[in-house]
Amino acid sequence: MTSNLPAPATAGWSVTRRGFDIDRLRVDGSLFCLADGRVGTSGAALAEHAGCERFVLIGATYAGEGPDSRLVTGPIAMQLPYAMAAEPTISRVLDLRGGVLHEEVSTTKGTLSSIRFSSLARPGTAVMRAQCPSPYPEGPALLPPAGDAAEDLGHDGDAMWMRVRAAGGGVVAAAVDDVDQNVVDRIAVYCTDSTRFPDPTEALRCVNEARAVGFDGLLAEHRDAWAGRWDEADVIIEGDDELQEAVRFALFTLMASVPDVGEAAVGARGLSGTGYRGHVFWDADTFTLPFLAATHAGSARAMLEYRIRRLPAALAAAAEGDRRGARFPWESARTGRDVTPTSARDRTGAVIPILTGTMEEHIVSQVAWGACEYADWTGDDAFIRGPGRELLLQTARYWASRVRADHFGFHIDGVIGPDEYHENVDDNAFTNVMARWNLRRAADSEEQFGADEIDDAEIATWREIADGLVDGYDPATGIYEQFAEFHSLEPLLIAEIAPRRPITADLLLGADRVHGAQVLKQADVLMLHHLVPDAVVVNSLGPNLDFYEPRTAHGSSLSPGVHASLFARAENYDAALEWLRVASRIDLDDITGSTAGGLHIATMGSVWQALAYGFAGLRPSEQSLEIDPHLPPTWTALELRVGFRDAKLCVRAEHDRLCVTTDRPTSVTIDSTAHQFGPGTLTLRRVGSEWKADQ
Amino acid sequence: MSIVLAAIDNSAAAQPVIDMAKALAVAFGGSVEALHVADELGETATAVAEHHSVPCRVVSGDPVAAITERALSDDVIGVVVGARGSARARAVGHVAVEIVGSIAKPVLVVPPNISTHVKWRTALIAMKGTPNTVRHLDAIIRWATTARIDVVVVHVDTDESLPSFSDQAAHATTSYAEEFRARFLSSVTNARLELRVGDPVEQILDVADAVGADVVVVGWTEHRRTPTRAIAIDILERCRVPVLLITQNP
Repeated sequence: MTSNLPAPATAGWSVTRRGFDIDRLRVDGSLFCLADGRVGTSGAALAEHAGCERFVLIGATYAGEGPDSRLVTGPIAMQLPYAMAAEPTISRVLDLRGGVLHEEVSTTKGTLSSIRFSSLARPGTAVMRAQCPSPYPEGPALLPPAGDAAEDLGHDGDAMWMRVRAAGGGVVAAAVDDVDQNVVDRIAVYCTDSTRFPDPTEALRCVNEARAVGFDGLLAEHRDAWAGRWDEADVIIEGDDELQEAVRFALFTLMASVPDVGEAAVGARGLSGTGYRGHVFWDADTFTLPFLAATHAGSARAMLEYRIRRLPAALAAAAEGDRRGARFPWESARTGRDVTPTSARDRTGAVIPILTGTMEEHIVSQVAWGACEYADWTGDDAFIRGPGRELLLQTARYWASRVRADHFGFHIDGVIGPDEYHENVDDNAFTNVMARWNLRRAADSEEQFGADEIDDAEIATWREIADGLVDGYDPATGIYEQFAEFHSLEPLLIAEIAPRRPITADLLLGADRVHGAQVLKQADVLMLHHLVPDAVVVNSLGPNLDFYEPRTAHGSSLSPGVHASLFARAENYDAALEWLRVASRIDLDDITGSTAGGLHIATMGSVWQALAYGFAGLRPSEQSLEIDPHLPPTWTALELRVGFRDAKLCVRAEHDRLCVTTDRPTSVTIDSTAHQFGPGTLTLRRVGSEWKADQ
Repeated sequence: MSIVLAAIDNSAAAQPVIDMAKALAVAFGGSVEALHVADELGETATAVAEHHSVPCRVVSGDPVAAITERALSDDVIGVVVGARGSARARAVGHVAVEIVGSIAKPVLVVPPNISTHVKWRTALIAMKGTPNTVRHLDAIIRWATTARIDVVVVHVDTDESLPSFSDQAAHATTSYAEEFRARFLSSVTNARLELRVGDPVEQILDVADAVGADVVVVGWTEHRRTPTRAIAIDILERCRVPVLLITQNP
């Protein structure tokens, strides 16, 4: 064993915090959380301090039922029996390239130095090497969980195990220490079982196997795994070092939050905090999944597997509401039944009804949209013909049974759009256009891959409904009305009356005032332009961006990233960069004041989408990858690595040059021209406003 | 010996001031000493002190100077004064305002005509705004906990401090409240947190009424133009229960 601790990462690849700020202890616990897709360990310092919150979150494993259900917490391995000094100093560097946390903290006994990681090569395995200030005093390798009771514990040789019960099953951790004077190596393995209380045997076997590999071997394979992930997903921004670091932190968090096998229940805070109880919302399908579909298909597929396995619950929920098809829940946890709270106290102290669970039905389309994002990026034929087709079919059936017909067309009444300031509205443009998209995509899917159980009449009905769905578009103005009667609301421009944006306008003006005004949390219509640009009227982005953005408070953490993307496409680079900066630093700067409860995973997905779909102008389709870059003057280059079908691509956009490198034959579309090439590099140069391929 | 100094005048306010001083002494673990500043001996003041078996010093001179001089002694841990020190005084109690800015010790301002309790049951602690403000109230929170007084903490957001984002009301508010508790109320096991939005004075007084607070604790600063001071003065003017001013100046 060596006591040498590897050097921390280089510039652009690290998040660094030095000094001691008691108010930041919990925030840093989230920022420095180490996760491997299955298990997340808080970034609390190894030494003890009352201000630290120390937890291990077990992905997709819930305690409790209904709205109270939450991710179960596992035994704690990353703590050592040293107390922080009375006036401690902490230096921490998170190496994003290698997924390793370097830490130096002053204790009452002297300096405690450590490195630790959650193995990407062996998900469920947490590893630490610590250089202690004195001969290691020994102590249990596992401590009881933060939020759950340890059901039992035991020893097998010098390995320790501890079990925690969860709804339907549980988690078992096994850990072992190897001590050499002042140096302690600790390996902990977490195994879960969703169907029965797990036996310690498997965890003990895994921990002994990892022990045989040893710390150095585990570190090497872990770094190799991360190198592979960055090779699939890195984004390089030349010309903005601060943004570069923030973007890499976002990508690191996304990659660490989702497993690539089995099923992935990606809660709103991933594995980095207990906020939002690990419940799964629409933003997982809409903002987290696309990044993974484009960079690490296995993780996106695992997210879809979570929905697929809960399709029976969604079918039952639709049937209970006298609908056909599948009604996916607004908040989802273990069973797939809705776990949205029905009331809550808000920031004003008032008890308010929570209507999202009953009215925010666009989640149904978002599950289908996420499935199609995966299909379009990967071309996974087995999925497209199998469970992907089933998701499209059942979500389309839901919408077909949900609409109301009159002589004006088809309507969807009584919903809430992503702009949650306006509840119980009719013909919400976002809901209706996404339902239309869902119906048409399902119809295409059935016509291409369908079996005999779907008759032509049903498909024709879907197309008829899609064609007749009211969407509020006014050809005279080029503007979509967000919902019926939106234009008759009080015409407030929040951009002019708010002291700043982003802001929670419902708290600033009061919920009643906002309900009656043209003030938006996030703009539903603009969200359409972001997610389904081919499903809105050509050239309608400009007028709708001009109309809706000044009316948007950006009180949703998803809004800045979406607007960064749209402003980039509109080539309003000042606004695009302003909103991209907000989105990319939402947790690094604790802009929400809630980072201690976990990192905003979907916001980080929106950062990637802003760069990929906005600035780089990437769009996958069944035939080709569209590329339409929009590079701010302050950047010299933007480079993204993505996977499209079976190929690994590197897209590098400069102001006058565009290079696409692929390792396989690939089709890309640039300025409406399809280019079949590869393996190799396609180089184009800007001539006037067009890209021309080098001969 | 820890002393709570009850500054009494020769009026009906003497009785509630001594009552409240005794309550504060019980909470702080000290005893009460009355101080009556007057050029002529007042019978009401001394009689009230005698009725409560509280030793009473009578001195002449300027009330603020005399009370401050005694309050600066190491053995004095807090001062209790009436909201109206004399006929010429402002309703907010200029004596209290000048003393709290001079001694950096808690000053309890007792409104006139209060129906007194022998024991406090509920303390409302007003935390508006920044963590720095909150930190100075930490000792008082610990005091209330030790004295087994139910603590209700009210935190009021104004336009300036409103959060930038609130994704899902049920979860976002919970997350914020949990973080607030972890940062500022970790030593308090029985504190109830009330979040509010709006005018701080209105909200604090509203919650004080709603929870039946026996005492309202607010921060105080010497800097005349700070919002904290303006809020404290408004509360002093309007609050129907005693107000404990905690100085935030070093």
